[in-house]
Amino acid sequence: MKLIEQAIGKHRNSDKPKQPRQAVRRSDINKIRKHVVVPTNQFDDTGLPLLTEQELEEKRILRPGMKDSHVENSLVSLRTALLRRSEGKPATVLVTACDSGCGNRFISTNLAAAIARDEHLSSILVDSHLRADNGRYEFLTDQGVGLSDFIFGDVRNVQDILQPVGIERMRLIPSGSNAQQHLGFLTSAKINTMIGAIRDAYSGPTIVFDAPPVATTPTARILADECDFVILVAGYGETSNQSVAASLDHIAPEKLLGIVLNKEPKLPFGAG
Amino acid sequence: MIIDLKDLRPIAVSAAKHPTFMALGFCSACLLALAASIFWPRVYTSDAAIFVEQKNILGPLMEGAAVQTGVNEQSRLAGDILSSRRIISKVLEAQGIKPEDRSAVEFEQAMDNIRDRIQVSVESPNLISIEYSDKDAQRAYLTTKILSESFMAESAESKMEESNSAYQFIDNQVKEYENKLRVSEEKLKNFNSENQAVAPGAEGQIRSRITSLEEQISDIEQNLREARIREAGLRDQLSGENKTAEKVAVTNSLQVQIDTLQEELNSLRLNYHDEYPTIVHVKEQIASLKAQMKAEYGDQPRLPTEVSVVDSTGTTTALLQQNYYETKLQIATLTSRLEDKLSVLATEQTRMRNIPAIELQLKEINREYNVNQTIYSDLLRRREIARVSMNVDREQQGLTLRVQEAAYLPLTPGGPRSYQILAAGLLFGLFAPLGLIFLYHRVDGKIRHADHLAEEFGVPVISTVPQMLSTKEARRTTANIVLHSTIMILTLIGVVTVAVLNSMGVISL
Repeated sequence: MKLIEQAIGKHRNSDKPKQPRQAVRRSDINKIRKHVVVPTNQFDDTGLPLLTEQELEEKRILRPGMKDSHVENSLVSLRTALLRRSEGKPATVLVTACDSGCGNRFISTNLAAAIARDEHLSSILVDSHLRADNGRYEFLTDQGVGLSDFIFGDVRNVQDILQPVGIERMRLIPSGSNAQQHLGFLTSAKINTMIGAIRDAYSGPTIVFDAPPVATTPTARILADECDFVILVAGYGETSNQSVAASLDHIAPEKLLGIVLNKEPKLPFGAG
Repeated sequence: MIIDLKDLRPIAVSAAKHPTFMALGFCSACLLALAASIFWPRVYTSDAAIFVEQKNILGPLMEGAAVQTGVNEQSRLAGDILSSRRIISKVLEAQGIKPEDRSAVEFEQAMDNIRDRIQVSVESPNLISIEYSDKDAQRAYLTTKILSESFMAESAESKMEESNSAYQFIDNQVKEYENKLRVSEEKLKNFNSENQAVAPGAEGQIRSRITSLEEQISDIEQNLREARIREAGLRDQLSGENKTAEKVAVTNSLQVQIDTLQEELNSLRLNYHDEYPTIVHVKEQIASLKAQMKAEYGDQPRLPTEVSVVDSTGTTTALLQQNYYETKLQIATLTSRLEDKLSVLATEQTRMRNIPAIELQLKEINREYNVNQTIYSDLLRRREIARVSMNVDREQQGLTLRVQEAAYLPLTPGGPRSYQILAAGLLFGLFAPLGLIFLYHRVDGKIRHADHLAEEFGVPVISTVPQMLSTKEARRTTANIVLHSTIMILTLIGVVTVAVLNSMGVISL
């Protein structure tokens, strides 16, 4: 059975041209730009100071002219893959993990940052980790109101939960206060309401949902149903085949953009 | 199997991630190898090669006439011969271990010990190699020497014994068959003397004899029958003689008168004519007599016998009587002869009937005799072959054993040398942890290859994102690796130095 599945998988692979994983060519970007709808209503400049290069490096965020070109290329190719599939249209994408510790916060942040690097595009990173113990983004200094306050609380204006992160054309929606007590009440309708509100306020931003492992979290599963695309993050040497299989069970194949193998260790002294 | 470099990468990555594990494995293996190279027991091995020449000049010459002991058996036996109690105790004695000094169990153990160190191998069909290993080079040499010499002596002796015993056996067989042959010869002789008549072809003789006897008997019977008839005839004649005698006498007197007158007439006719009155008278007389006779007997002619016996009736009877008795005697003789012949015939016929049984018996005896004779002559031939074989062995001309390579004094210990052990240890220290990592990767089932992931699930892998380490982390990792590498190199240098110094005798451990 497994063999047959593999064969079908291979066949499916060969149908689609392989996504380039290495450096993105300039011509590709230009091709994509032709389809990009230039947003009419950009984020207004908040006047918050942008993060310096050193700060970006400390926070492990993609920046132009990184010392480690491998990381930069791999993250940019992620963006390219997304833009190819969405054909430049504003899309919602879920970044979820096979299991905790795969580093999907790193991937989602950098995907949002990579999108925002293009001056014609903008991105919103939505922290869907409703459990408090799921960690924080490194660039967050103040939690503030967020997702749960908009969906379950009294925050009615979507602009109120968008927070600047010190990166041009990129915003963050934190998980919000008292997120944990609303854990069970998140529904598709409510998610759609929020996406609609964002789309009403701004045309153009790509919304990146960062969610806990899809196999074990109901929130992630709801988001997987509602988002346009899903990126599954696997951790090198940490994720087992079984957990990949379990995660794929919850993702509709047509929505799956692909798997990202994260945290591949580098050999010392720059060896191949 | 071609190893994909991509498959090695995860191993290298893991190795870099766990430098302590690598260093610990390497250093411990190095130290163990050093210890092993120093304390590895030095074993000296001496060997001797014995050439077994099977095809010597005698072989083709004596082909078929003498049997030579084969080399294969010899090689096969070599191990057994060398582990025999006699040879091993000889070796032990040379090593200064005497059975009277030790307890029986200890001595037995010492023997087993020696046996374990002996290695006998047949290197080529004609070459037997004897090896002996010992911690002491001198002892190894001496023991190998003793072993090879003893082996040669022992195999020569055993071969002699073998051909001797073969000869003895055949000789005994020959004697046995000689006796058997003698017995059957005796039997044959006795039988022949008992049944002489039944020589070969006797049957035909007896048959012809029976035929002639039967002919004779039928002759005699014929004669007897004739004699009986004659006897009956004579008897009849004798009883009828008295009645006719008178008649015969009258006739006879008339005839006699006529005859007398005829004679008178005949003489008268010589002197006188027929008209002479006397002649006429005589004629008349004869005529009257003839008429008288005619009147008495008629015209019937007279029997000649009657004429022959006519002269005297008394003599005829006597003659008849004599004949009668003679015939009677003849009958008695013939009867007794007939009886004799009949009894002889009966005997011959009995004998004729017995012939097949006797012949069968004779055949049996003959067969036994022939079988014995065949075996006996065959054995005689074999005994001569065995004698020659025995002589060949006695003269050491059969299977020749000679020392191809004499035992020597080993100067360097056998087994792995120190540097080999050391090198093996170093390689092991380097690769064993990697092997363990490889096995661990096989077992834990975690994803380490983007390609494997795509193949396994048929889902595109968009990107492989390298781990992004901060400068501090990267520096710490590098420092860690450098530190451990330094420890490994220092250990290696230390181990090699100690090993070299030890082999040079500068330090002694």
